Amino acid sequence: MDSDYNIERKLMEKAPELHRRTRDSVFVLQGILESFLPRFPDFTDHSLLHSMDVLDYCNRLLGTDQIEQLSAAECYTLIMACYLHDVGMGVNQKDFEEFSPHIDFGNYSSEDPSDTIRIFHHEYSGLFIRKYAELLEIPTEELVFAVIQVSRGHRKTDLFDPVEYPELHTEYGLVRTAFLAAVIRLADEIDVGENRNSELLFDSSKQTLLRAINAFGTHESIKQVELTPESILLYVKPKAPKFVPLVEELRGKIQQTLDYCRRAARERSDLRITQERSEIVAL
Amino acid sequence: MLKIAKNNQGDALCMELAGRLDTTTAPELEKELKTSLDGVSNLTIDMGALAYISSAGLRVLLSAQKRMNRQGEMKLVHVNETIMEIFEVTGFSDILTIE
Repeated sequence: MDSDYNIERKLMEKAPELHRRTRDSVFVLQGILESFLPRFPDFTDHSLLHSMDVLDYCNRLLGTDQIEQLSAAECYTLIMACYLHDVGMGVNQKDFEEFSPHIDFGNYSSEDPSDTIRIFHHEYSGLFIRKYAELLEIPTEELVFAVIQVSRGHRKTDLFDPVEYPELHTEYGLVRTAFLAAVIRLADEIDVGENRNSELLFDSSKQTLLRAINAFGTHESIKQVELTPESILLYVKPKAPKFVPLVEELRGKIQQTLDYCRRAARERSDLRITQERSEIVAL
Repeated sequence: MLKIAKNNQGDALCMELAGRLDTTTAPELEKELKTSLDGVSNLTIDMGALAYISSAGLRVLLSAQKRMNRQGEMKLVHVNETIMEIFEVTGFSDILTIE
């Protein structure tokens, strides 16, 4: 496709030094991102493979023309956030205890750390990035902030809050944090195709929990996700009849996220998410 | 269009890929690998005739690498300039074993 790897290519061309830092981070993160598995063995993939998918969807959502309008700082922030957005799923016990007092849990309480991490993993991701910014060689404080906010922004955070999501002026160019967070939130939401969970690494038939069976079965029913300039198309062949309403429910969730992210992009930046609707195409 | 040729010798398997490894063809390679890797401790993927690899293809290679890390080793050979540029730009040249 025309948009394949364009964000990565643009960063390599405009700021080779920043690009080198993303390459080093990818190498380091391949192991770190695996650490979600012992805690969440029945979860759909959140490893480096999912990060790659999210980055690919970001490339496709943005398209070649809008990628041309991104600064080096924005390319860097988006790539790093794609690789780091779920890193909070794999925090170890020590970091869990260190980070938890800094998170606003509202009325939520649970005895089970796994539940807490699952629900607030975007906040754990943000705190992980803050703690390990030097290891990740994020070069400036502005970029640390941008990577944290865009990573956290993949779910739940308020993209209309100008304090949380400002336009930053860095030495590597402008960062439109609200727009980048909107793109990554939508990209994460649409990584729902059957290839989400590699057949080489996952055997969904061994799942026993109903939630896991439903999640894997729903993904296995969506054979392909295709983007056109106007639509997000889910090509569906249900694995079993019971997955039909689950796929429709997921499509509805995608539409909600799409509506929110389109509005955030339009009201908080001069860039756009062009897709307007999500549709199911029966195979 | 992707052509896959396999050559088994004991616990060694060589797969030659020709054409494009993209979102359309990556599932074919994944299925082929899934049915071929049991008992294999040495996997070689010959990419000499591969014209292009998309993100979907890259993820299959990385999945295969992760699977082979558990049971042996995997290497990519005859990687041409176009594909190497993609490995460099994505950072995967440091993760995959390329000879």
